[in-house]
Amino acid sequence: MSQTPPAAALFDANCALGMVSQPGPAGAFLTADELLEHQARYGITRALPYHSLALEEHPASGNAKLLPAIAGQAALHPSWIALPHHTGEFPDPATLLDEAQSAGVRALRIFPDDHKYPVDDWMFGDFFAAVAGQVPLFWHIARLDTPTARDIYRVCSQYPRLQVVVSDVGKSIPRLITPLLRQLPNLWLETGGFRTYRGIEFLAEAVGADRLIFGTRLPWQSVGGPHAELQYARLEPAVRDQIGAHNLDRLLATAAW
Amino acid sequence: MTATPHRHHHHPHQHTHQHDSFSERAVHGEPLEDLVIDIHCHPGVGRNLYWHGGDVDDMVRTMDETGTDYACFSAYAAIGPDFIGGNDLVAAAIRRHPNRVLGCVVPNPRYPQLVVPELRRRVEDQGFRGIKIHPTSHNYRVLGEHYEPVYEYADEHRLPILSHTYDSPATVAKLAKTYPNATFIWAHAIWNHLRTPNLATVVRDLPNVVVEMAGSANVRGTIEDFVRVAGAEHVVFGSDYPVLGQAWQLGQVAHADLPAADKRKILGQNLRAVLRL
Repeated sequence: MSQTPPAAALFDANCALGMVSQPGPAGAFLTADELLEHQARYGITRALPYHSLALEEHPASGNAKLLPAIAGQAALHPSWIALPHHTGEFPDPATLLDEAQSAGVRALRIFPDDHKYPVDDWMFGDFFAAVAGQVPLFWHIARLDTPTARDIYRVCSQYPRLQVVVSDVGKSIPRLITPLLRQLPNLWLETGGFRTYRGIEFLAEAVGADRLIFGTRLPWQSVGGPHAELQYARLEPAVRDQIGAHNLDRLLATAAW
Repeated sequence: MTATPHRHHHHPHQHTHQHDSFSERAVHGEPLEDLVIDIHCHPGVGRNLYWHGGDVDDMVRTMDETGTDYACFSAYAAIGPDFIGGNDLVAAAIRRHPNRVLGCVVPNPRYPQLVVPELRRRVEDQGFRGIKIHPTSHNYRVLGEHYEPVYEYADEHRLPILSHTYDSPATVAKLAKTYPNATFIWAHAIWNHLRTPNLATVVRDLPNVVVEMAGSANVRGTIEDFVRVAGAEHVVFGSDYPVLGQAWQLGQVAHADLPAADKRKILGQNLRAVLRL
């Protein structure tokens, strides 16, 4: 049986390339070709990867490994992970933005829960102020609980030109994410962890499909879950394409470089 | 509405991943063609969670969209505060969709005097085909004395018991050997595989134990690795919808790197035998 390509070419907003400390039985993607080949099974033709070592080892050294790893792969758009700079282990925000622009980085990411820092202004206000209006920011969370929701509300309200995509959410979030998306026009939701029944349709109706961005959480998670949740959603094909690729295209196009 | 179960085509070739009809249809969001039975479904509303829809007719519509022939309902209220009211809801759903909805009666062991009469009424008078227990939500030990009549009833009537947990491989083994005519379906348990390495080997050797695969910690390759050790005969499909997205859980099986014959067992054939459909 030959496989018919899916109708829409998907753009994966949330995946990692490289070795990880706890790969599942299916392993990690050690080369760009491996990642792209796997994603192609699902009709994913483009991705915005970060390097797994930027998350699990250190953002500075991990980010440096990303560009060589994806060299020559037009389908892979680089994203870097940021860290507070106060200890000197990571560039200050102005230097980071210069380096990101020179490297053609399309988006930045933060993992405050994994990297153990608060997002209060005394820690990260200079970063948010510098990034606002410059490049989209993916904010990866461990859990959308009440304190995290308050953080997102405060940061997005305080820096209205900051464009934030909340990532790695779980199932239990509609009561929190719905008012956040309604009240914060500079907030988007990446759907790679959003396994709530009919959650995509609900938010598309409640806040607009333009606020949802498809992602997979590769290599840790099977694409089959988030892919099927989008493909079986009660959406018009054009809306599915919007979530699957066009919203991320539009967001990335707003970067200052 | 009541609908006729989907057609059960059988494909002569066994392939893996993208080359079988499961992944081919799932990648396009089309209903699966083979027999699909979802053992883990919770109609109702949630105090701690919100999901969109989730009423009985909406859930049957989802079954049509994913190609699910039968779904075994146990009400969300029943695994929480109101097992009688929740079981009433499922009884009404069976009457409304007799060709699609099956019932799993929920007993709450904290009302021990009501347990056996409730099992009898639902199974013998209303046609429920299985039992669902939630030791975590009802905060009652799997081996607690007031669950014993439940296991005995299941054994006597050859019923499956879907449980949110059976605590440990040793516990489920003890139950399976004590009540050999019951089938113990361990919800979510496939996701315990990587940190509980003897789960698969214990289950493999117990003919009346299967694990189910609804969950939120879907480490890539876990389903395939569990099947490699325990065999596809010991895995069944359950989605936990509408708590979780049914399509999400279905997609994990449809796209798994498994032969089509294994997917066929997991998605429908194993449960057809257990539920005597």
